[in-house]
Amino acid sequence: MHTVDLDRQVDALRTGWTGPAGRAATALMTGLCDELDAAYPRLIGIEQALSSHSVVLARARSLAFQSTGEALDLAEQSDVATAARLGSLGPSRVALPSRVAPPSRVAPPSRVAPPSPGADPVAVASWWHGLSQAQRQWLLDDRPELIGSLDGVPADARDVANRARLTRLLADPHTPHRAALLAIQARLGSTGHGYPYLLGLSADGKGRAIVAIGNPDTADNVVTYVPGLGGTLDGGADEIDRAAHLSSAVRRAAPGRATSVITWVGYDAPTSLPEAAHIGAAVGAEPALHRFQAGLRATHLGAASHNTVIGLSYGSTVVGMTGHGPGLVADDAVLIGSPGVGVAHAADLGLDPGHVWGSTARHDVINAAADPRDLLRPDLNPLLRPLFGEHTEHLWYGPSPAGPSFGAHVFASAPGSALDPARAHVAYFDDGNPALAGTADIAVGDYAEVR
Amino acid sequence: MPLPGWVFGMEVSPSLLRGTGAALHDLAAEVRSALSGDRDGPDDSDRATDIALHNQVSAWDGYLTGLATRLDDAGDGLAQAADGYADSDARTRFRFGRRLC
Repeated sequence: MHTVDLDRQVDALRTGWTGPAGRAATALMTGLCDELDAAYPRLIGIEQALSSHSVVLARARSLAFQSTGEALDLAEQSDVATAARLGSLGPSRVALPSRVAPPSRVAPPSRVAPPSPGADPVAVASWWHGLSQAQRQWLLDDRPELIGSLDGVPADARDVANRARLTRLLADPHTPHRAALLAIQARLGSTGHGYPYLLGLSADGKGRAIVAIGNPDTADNVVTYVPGLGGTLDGGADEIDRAAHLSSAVRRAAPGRATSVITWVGYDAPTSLPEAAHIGAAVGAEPALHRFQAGLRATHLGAASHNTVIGLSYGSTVVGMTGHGPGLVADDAVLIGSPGVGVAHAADLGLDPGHVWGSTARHDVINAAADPRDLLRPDLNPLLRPLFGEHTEHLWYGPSPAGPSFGAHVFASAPGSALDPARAHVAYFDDGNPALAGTADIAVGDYAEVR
Repeated sequence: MPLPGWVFGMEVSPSLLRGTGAALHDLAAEVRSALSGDRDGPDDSDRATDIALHNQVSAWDGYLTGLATRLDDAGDGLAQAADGYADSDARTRFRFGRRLC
């Protein structure tokens, strides 16, 4: 529910209707709009709280046969915490000074000095932790653009801010990427795989959409999926669907553990092959991916989660460049369908090479993305390799992570079809593909199960 | 198509007032529609969450029902203002002074 349309009409009335009657009417309607806007985050908060509670209860249920006491403790703690959270989300706090003066004109509570968007997530988390509930609420109401994209702010608060932004964007019929935003809104309404948290959103340029299936701040395992070519806001819903497949597989691999799978459309992914031939987008993504990953660590509650970053296609290049540069802040890196990751060896990614994994389907079209120098070699023309199922060792951005020289663990993926190498490139998360099961096993730390 | 108010020398058109009033009525209906369906927990009074949820459902139902009524009232007020606007702003002020302020 939102009141942007009404806001617009009230603005039209305000500018065109002078005199005391006009002032009285527009003040009244402004107050009503403000009440609705203030109610919205609290209602979202109730949904989040109940969803998180249901996830914990499901875990407790699955634990019950192994350890009844532990399961009961888990359920009891969640019960108390959820009740406390619900208690703070009542309508009484909506009671508005804003009927007299809308929140946007209410002076902010004291000591709210928001950090800049690029601030260190640990410092942001500390700042957020130190705010009062009233200060946080003021920021969510008045600065959703900042809070929604600020790494180091907890997932539930970012979700509230970004859902409000999404509704505002969709209220404008001229908002760019409108179809993509509507598709994302539809995914947010579907809770089949767990409550979806909207951790980032922008309609500027190629757009941004970061969606987590399950709360990363409370999950045992957190997976960040970085898409490649076409992985922009316009393709965001497809990427979320792909991540939903992965989420199901991860839950199957570890039914007793809470998992969050995040689709990170957080950079200007290439939208054409000529764009993908340039490293610029991957270099440009490094600080954002690093900060996002550091933010996951900073906001996580309880024992540290097992964090995995997965890069598909050009997304693997983003992962590689970030690992080599500012760092992935993760436990494992998975590089699939990769055109090379900008480094010569797994050890260059800032991780123990034993925690770097690679897989490329035999007929994946990416095998045609060879180092140009390969064209001078007398063996099979690289452009024909996907048809013949021949692996390319020297790719556009360096050695293949699925090849012997790179030093990563290589795991299996379905070969795909010689008749459709492009399909093989996007089939890694399809049901039945061994790459899906392997990736899920890595994500939950069951390395011995990876084939 | 309704003519804009300035054609008649008016500062705001009755159609804009009616349109805004209709939007308020739609919003009130949307709020009321959200107050249906099962929103209670399993009604287990041993669980703090269930008690808190029950309390919140009651509180929100009461609050949102009142809010929907106020939205409707405001929509009615705008529709009446649109009917009477051609007479004078003073009359419109009187209506709002009586009904809305």
